[in-house]
Amino acid sequence: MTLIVAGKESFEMQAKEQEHQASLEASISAWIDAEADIRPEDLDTPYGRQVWDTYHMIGDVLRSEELAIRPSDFLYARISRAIDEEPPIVAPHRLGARRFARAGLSGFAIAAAVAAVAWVALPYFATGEGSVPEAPVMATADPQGFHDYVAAHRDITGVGPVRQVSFEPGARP
Amino acid sequence: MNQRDVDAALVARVQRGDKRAFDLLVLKYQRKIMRLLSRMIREPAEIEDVTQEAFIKAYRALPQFRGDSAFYTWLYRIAINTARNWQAANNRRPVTSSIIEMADGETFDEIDNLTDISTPESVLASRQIAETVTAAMQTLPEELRTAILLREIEGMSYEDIAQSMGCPIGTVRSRIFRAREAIASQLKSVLGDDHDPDRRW
Repeated sequence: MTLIVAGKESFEMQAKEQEHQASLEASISAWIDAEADIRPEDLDTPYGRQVWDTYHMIGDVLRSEELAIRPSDFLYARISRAIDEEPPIVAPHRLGARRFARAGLSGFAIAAAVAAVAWVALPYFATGEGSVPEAPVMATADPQGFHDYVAAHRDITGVGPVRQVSFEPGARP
Repeated sequence: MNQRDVDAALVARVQRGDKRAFDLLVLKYQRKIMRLLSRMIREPAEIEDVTQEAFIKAYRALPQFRGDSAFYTWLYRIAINTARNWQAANNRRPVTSSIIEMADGETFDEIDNLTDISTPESVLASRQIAETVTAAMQTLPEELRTAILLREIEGMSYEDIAQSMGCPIGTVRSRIFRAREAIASQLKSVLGDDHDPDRRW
C-alpha cells in the first residue's frame, strides 16, 4: 500500500513537473538561466514582461540587497516609448561564434572568384601553338536598312523636338 | 549557453530591428544601472532621467556593438559616460573613481562600491522588497531553496546543480522555477502587481 501511494506521489510529481515546464513561466525561468533558447516574441505581452522583470529582480536581490530597487512605475514605459520614437536599427549581423565559419566561407568565395576570373581570362593570354585564334566576328552595319527604318519612324511620329544638325569638317560659318 | 549568450541573442534581435527585445534588456539591467548611477548623481529624482538617457544612448550605439565584451560591460561604460556628461553639463562635482581590472579582464569603476544615496521612500520600498524575498526564501522547501541559491548565488548550470543535488536536470529546472514562483507570489503585494497587472507595462 505504501509503495502504491509513493508511486502515485512520484507520478503526480512528475506530471506536475511536466506541466510546469510546459508553461510560459517555466520557459521564462529557463531562458533567464540560459538553459533554453530564448523566444523573445513570447515575452511580448505585459504579463510576459512582468514575469521576466520579477524573476530578474529576485535574482538581483538574492545576490545583493542593494539591488532591491523598484524603479518608478513609468521608467520602463518612458524608455520603451523613447525607443519607439528612435529610427529602427539596421546593422550587419554579429559575427560572434560563427566568425570562423564565415571567414572560411569568405576565403572560399575569394578563391572561387579568382578561379573564375582565371578561367575566363586565360584564353586571352594563351600563346601556344595549340590555341587557334578565332576569326573576329564584326557587327555588320546596314546603312540603307537603318535609313529606311528612320524614315519610316519619322513618317509615324513626325519631326521631333530634337533638332537635327549636320557637320562638315572644314566648313566655315 | 550562458548569460552572455542570452544577451547576445537579444542584442542580435535588436540589431535586426526588433525594438521589443531591447525592452527585455532594459528590464534585466535597469536596477544595476540605477544603483550605479545613484552613486554618481546626488539627486535621486534625476537618477531615472539619466538612466533613461543611458539606455537610449545604448540603443543608438547598438549597431556598433560587436560582442567583443559582455553587453553589461558595454552598457556600464555608456552609463558611466552619460552620468559624467550629466555632471559636466550641470556643473556637478564629479565623483572621483579609478578603474579596477577584474579577474576576467573586464573593468569596473570603484563607483560600484561606494555608498548608496537614497530617499526615505525608496529606502523603505527597497527594505520591503529585500525582507519579502528573504522571508519567502525561508519558507521554501529545502530542495527548492538550495536549487535557486546554487543557481543565483553560485551561478551553477542546471547540469552542475543536478550533479550536486543528485537529481535529474528536469527536476532542477522545476525546482528553480517553483522557487521563483513562490517568491514572486509573495512580492506581488509589495510591488502592487496583483492590483493592476498592466499598471507598469
